[in-house]
Amino acid sequence: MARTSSRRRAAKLMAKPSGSTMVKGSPDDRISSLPNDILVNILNRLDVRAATRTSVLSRRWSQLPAMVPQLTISARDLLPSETKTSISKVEIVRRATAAVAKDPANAALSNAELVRRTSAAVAKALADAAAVAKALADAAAVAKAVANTAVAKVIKSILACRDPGGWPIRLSMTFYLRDGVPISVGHTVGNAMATLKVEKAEFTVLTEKEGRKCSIDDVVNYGTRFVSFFNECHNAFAGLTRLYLENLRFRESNFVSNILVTCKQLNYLGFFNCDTEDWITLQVEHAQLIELSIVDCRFDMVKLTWVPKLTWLVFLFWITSRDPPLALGYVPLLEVLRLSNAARSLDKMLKLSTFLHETSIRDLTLGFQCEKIWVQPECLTRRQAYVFQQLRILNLVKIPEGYDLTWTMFFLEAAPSLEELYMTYGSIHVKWK
Amino acid sequence: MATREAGKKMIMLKSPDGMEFEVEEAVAMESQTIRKMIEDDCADTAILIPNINSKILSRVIEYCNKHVPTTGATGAAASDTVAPAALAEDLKIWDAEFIKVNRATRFNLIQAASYLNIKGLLDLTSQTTIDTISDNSLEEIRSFLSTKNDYLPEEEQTIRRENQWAFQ
Repeated sequence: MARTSSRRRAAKLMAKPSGSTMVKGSPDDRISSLPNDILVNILNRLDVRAATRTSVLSRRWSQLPAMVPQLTISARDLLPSETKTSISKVEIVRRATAAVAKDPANAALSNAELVRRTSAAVAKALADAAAVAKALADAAAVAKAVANTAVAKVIKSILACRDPGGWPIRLSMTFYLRDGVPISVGHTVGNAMATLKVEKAEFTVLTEKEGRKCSIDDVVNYGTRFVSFFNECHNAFAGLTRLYLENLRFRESNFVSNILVTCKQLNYLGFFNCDTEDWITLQVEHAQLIELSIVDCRFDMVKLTWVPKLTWLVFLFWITSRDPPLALGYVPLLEVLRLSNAARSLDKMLKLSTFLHETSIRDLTLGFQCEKIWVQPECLTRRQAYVFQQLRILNLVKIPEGYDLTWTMFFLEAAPSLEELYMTYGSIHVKWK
Repeated sequence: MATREAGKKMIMLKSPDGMEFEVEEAVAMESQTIRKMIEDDCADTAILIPNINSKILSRVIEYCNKHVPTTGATGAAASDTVAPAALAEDLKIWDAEFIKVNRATRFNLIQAASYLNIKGLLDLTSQTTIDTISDNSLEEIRSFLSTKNDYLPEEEQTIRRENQWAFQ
């Protein structure tokens, strides 16, 4: 009996009407014979601009872009292509040198004269390039503003033609923190969350200047802009599943905690070059967070008090010398961990076996910047060695000379499941399997 | 199509034009649609694939045969003897050769891959279409897809105006 019914189900599955045109379809218009879901699948893999353009192809295609589930809209993609490229100094020197060498007028010259001409040509080329670079930088700033405004318009225009009863949408937005764009995007996304089915929503919030080029005034200014964006768009932040922030300094010391409290749905949270005016201890309690990345940030201490779903943690280039600036509380699923100091050793060495106690560590990376030691191999009891039972991949970055052998011996003994071991000394890479 | 080996379970696939293909179960299960039927226990004798003619079905089976070992199906273990990178490279070359077909065949393959739910084949067969749409003018896309512009001129203007950002 059960058998017959499942066979009937299978027969039904096979008799999907959309497929029946395939054998018969007229040979000169094959693409129309493909059902909508296949065409939407194809559009889903195009960038959103190309996908939208197809609405002009024909009446049938006009309906398809509004069915595409994945909407990735990035100010970077909307930049005009010429602002993305620039020539490196090395390349300028190489070209200028080659031009002098090739010039037949220079063939009979003495070496000294050739060198003089080459360096003059290189100097001129570099000066020209600097002037061009300055003009390009100005043009790039304008282009970024234009692309950013386009992000806000595009998402509004696309979401306006979505059907509330349609398929779930996955939104991924990348924009610069300037003008009214973030707030406009925030409102549009917040509304979409209220009226449409939004399965995933991601914000990548960029600043115009990149990390190393930001002055203190810049990060303070960006921080203030972000706070007003955040306060204005709580609805959107409450539904975000992924958030990346960079180059922000927050005046209020508890603002980072505010983010964690408001953004309840986050699976991923990334901070790059962020801090607060007064250094804080950041307590992380979050029910949904799976991935957390804290890179180049100046928090005095990060305590992962309760993050039950966390599997992936990157904590790079801390600058406090306080012993250890990271505490792992309840993170039972933590599998992947990347840790590195920045040019300082710790007052007290980190004890790995205690530190990783009660995680599920499987893939571990330890970085030693400037040959500073902050963690050392230990003598393990059997109970302590249990921590490394599941460790399969180990990466030791810039390991100080003389430590490689002790580390290798330590892990070979402590981690019976180890499959891959990588070590780099400065620029030398060693790979053992 | 597939050679019968001792101990391997075989499945019969039938195309609507009456051809029968005997394939290993593992090969047939590259198709998630067929896998579901086998797992639901409704594939004991033969499976009729109503929408796919024998020419296309044989190409699909050829693809599945080639791709079955690397996707970790039971039994086959070619990756033990050949380095995975070399194997992947080999498959890439094979795929590139496989997809050198005319447009009608490619669209048929896209539909077969979608219907039988074979992700790798769907990715492979739709890539050319994706590239064409990304890199060409609308007229070129229309000609590639054999799609007729059935808009009135003013309708087309409206659509363009509504989506102006995409045409800049």
